[in-house]
Amino acid sequence: MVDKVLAEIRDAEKKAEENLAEALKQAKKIEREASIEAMKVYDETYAEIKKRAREKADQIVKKAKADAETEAQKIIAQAEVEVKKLRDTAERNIGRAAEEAFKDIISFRR
Amino acid sequence: MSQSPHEALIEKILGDAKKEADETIERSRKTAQGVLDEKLEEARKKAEGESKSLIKAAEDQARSIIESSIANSRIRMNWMILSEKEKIIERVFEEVKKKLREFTRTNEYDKILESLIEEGAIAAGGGELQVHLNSYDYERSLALDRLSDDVEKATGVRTMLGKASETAETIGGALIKSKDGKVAVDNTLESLIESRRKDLEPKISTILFTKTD
Repeated sequence: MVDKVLAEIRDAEKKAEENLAEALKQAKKIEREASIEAMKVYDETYAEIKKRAREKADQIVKKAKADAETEAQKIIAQAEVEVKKLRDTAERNIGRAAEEAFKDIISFRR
Repeated sequence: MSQSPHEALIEKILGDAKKEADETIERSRKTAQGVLDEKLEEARKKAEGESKSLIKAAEDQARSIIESSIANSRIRMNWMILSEKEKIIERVFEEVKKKLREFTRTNEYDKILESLIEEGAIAAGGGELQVHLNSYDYERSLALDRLSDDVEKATGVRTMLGKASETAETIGGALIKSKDGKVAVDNTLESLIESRRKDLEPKISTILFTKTD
């Protein structure tokens, strides 16, 4: 009877040790998998943030190019207006300018 | 039915073992989560630091694109205005040439032509000189003897002015050359225009581009 009881207790202790060993094995597996997962998460997170930043940078440059083109067109349009004004003003004065230059040349002595 | 003492002991052994096993797994789960969180934070910090530099570089590039475009457009604008002014001023000189051509058909021009010949001959230093004229002026009767005397008086060199057999392609005025061709003075009206161009351009520009209304 006593032997039977002791055998049952030894079996229980053996089972307890096996359970603990299994738990340790699982724990190591969890940590190993977590380590691999962490590298993956690192790479994905890094790549995702950098991708977003590159997209934002591209947008900034793209917008700048569009803004630059708009500004350039405004300036050229302004230049065309200035040129037209010049032409109109000059057209009214061209006869007088030619007359003055003609008089100067005729009266000039080297 | 109540447990016997050894059954209670067995249950305790197994219960304790289960508790310890559960705690071990829970600890490792927490450690694993910690590793994940740490790596995530590390990746975020590194990527955000680099992204900040990337965005700053893009902003600098953007500023440079806009500034450069504005500067180039302003240069182009100034060039357009300057080019237009030059074109109009050139039109004035063409108009002046037209007026001079008409003027050479008047009597008033005779005096100017003689004066240009005399000045050219003096500048050439006197001597035996040939006067090149355009075909129209070639037919004019010019007081070359009197002009020769005047040049001689001015230079102290015996002077003889004669019409060159070859005519000159010019609106008017004269090209004075020594007989040996070593000395040449260009006193054509075109040359006169060119010599006055630098002084005349600003004056013409003022007249042309000042609003009068």
